[in-house]
Amino acid sequence: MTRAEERLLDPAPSGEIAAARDFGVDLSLLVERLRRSPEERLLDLQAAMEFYEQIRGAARFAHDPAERDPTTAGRS
Amino acid sequence: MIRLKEILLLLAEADVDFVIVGGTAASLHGSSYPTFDLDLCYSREQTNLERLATALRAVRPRLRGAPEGLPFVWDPHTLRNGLNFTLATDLGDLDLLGEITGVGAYPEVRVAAVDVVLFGRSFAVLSLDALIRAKQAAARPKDLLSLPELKALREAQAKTGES
Repeated sequence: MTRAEERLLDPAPSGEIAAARDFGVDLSLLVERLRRSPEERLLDLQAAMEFYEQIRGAARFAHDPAERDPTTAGRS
Repeated sequence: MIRLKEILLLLAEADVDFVIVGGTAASLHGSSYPTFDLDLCYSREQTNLERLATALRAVRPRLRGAPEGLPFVWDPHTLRNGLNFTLATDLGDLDLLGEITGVGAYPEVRVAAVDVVLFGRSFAVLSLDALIRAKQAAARPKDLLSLPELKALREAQAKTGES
């Protein structure tokens, strides 16, 4: 276990990590993020963006009939 | 959606001087918050403006959110006459910033950056300390919300003996 992981998993009572935990930050997510290399973090971010785009596309599909059937686009 | 690897390598291969800032920099330092564009602070030296204009021309930069048909010429002159540009490109949304609130213009931002290896190349990334300063200075609600996490990351990664 790295020093950073130790600090995140057992924060000093009056430190910034404890303050973040109390604010609602999920420290276990930070532990996982710090186990990744910067390049892996960037690729994870890219994957999150792509997932968001898929969700957004699905939401459009669900709410807009024209998205479901292009042949009806523009018809009221 | 920005294609991060492609645009970073495009600029690096053109020898553009820039620093990765904003949400992508935070993510590289370990932040779990997502971002959907790429913010870069760029050098305003004339040679860099020329490299930047040439490199991005291939991905058709245009002003994001501007009315269709609004004239926009992408060249070093436009870069010289502006400072911050919110662009849509064929590789996604890209913000080019001439300065960072709380840190300064490119020379100060570069000094406040750390070098990070991505895809076999070294990239300048705004340090956690400077990111925290920038977000404190910007002080928008979304900046303030990210501060506790950034400060926790700084404390977690501080060298032994530092708080």
